Amino acid sequence: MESLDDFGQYVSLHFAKQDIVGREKAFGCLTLTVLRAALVRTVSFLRDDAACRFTQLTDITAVHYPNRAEEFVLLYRLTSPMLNRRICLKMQTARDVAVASLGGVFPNAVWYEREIREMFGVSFENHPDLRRLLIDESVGGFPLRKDFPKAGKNKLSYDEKTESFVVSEKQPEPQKNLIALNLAGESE
Amino acid sequence: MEMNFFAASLEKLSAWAQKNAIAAMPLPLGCCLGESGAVQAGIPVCYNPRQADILVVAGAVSFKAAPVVRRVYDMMPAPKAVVSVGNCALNGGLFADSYAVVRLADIVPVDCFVKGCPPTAADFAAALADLKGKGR
Amino acid sequence: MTDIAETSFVNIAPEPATGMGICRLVAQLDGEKVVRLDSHIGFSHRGIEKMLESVNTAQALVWCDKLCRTVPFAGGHAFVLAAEKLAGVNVPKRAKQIRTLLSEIVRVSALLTMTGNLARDTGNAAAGAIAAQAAVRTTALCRAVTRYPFGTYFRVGGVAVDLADGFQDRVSEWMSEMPPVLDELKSLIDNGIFRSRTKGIGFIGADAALAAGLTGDNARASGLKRDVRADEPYDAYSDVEVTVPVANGGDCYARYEMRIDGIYNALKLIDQLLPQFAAGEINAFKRPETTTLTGLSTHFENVVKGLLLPEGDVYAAVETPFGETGVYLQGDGSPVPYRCHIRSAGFPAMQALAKIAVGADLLDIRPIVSSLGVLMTEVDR
Repeated sequence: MESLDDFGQYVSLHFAKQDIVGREKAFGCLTLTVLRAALVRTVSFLRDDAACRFTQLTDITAVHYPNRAEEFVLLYRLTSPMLNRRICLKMQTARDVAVASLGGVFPNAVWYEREIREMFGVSFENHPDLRRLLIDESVGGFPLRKDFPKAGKNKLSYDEKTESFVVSEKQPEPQKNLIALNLAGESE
Repeated sequence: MEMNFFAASLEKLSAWAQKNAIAAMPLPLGCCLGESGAVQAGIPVCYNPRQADILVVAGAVSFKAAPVVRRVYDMMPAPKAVVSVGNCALNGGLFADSYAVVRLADIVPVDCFVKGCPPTAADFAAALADLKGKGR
Repeated sequence: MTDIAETSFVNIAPEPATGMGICRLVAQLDGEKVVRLDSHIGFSHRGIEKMLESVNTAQALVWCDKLCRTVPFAGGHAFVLAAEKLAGVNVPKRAKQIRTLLSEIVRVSALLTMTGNLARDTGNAAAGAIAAQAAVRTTALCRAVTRYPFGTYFRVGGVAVDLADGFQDRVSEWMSEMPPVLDELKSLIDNGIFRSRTKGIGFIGADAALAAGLTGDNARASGLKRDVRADEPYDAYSDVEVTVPVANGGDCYARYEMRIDGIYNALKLIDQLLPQFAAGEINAFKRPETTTLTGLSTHFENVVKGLLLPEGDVYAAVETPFGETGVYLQGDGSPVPYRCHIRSAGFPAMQALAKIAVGADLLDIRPIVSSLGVLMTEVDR
């Protein structure tokens, strides 16, 4: 299994056709699109199979596409240190569907999933620990969604009189006259 | 009787002592303090807010860090001063339009600002001289 | 003994180990032993990923390089590699060599800082000061040869400006200064006290390290022979021979050894690299003559517009002193990335801390955290 194509075929052979929806390779890395129901099975296979040995979970991240019916794509990046190979799994999911947690297969998936939950609002099932990780509730929303403003929704300040923190809604600020920023925004 | 003693009020004495032996507590929230720092400006660093006179907050203050900064500030004995290091703590700097960053001045009263991204040792020394000049 | 009623909780904050940034650890103790450790991170979260989704490829480097203070090229290097892969930019050889050289010089400074911090956290302030001094000298060298502030020097397509004339001599001079400093440092640090505080402390085995997602020196200390520079050579690493040292201790001492070996390796790489330096361009996009008005406006336009990122996505990883730092970049045909995610190397290490610290004494938490060499700004992004 020297070439990536052979390798992709090998993986696909072990699963039903509807489980692995797509297969592409770009920049020397194989990307498989898997069905939500088949995720844990696929990852366990990739970890345990003697020809794959993707024993390290490098990263999990998500991308938000607000115009799609299933708006989130989750990306799982696995590495095989023994065979020096990487693979990426893509999986589509919707706002109100819970994704199976990978915490049982790779222990370090837990924090990545916590991060995705608070940043994108994707929920996970069978997850051991669903507390917030990087941000506070006062940020108000899911920051990495495309409809969340970059400058945030809330403002935090400390009231000396009441000796407590006040979270207030941020007023839209007048547009800055930075040429570079304006021109960069033109393509958005 | 020899005059080998002097009388002063305790407040004045402790104020004099504090003015001449200050200790700074650093809170390195961002990426500034490695470049320059209180140590280079000749101020001893102490990691206990109860014994610190100056709170040095370096870098962008996030929503999550704001209560921490306030709590550390409240724990410090008066008189106390807050030094904000870097553009990020001043007004957000590079992260001014980030959803996660607040201005330090909204959280604690700031006595002196060190500008720069990152600030140089000279910026730091100038700001501290300014702080000392204020006399507290 | 491990009855919940008999355990107590201790907060370790705001800086659990020297120079790591703000973070809060909550340790559940049974006597002096840590039964459970919970890390609260995110105090330095500045939303870099969201910022990067609104700026173009030319501007993005500023934010990438603010990822961490000791290794300004950590985020930027991965970002430029990802953008170049995606846009299919052919980087000139000299630019690749300059980037490799600077990454290695910065690696020396960062590893020195980490070693010094570990020494401080085991009570050896003198060694910490010597390491910090050497790190400052290295940073100064970086500034002198690049003629740039520390960081924001890499560009998509190459680097910002050429290295200063006679940089080879300056680097060689600095190289000759290093071995005595390292010898002094080792003789100061590596004594009976240090060994008793680090050997067998904070153990993590090879399988556990793999499953925890550890990379870089932390993984190599547990016996995993993995180094992005050797396995997936980027820039000029394919022209030099990268040796990957491995230790089997898996404890704090092994991690310390790996960092010292890392410094020697970086020096060896610089030694191999210096005579190879090619003449030529330093950026794939030739900088127009900025003394004329048309040239200046072209340059302005190039910078303001940035490089178009075609549709598609790519992941590029670099070996930083923390481990594998990667950037996932998705383009949509505009110069502004649709999504940019930074895979920080310290993130899994902070997560693995809960596993490593269980069973250790409360006193040992500090060296354990320190030996992992994490920097919270890099972890929180």
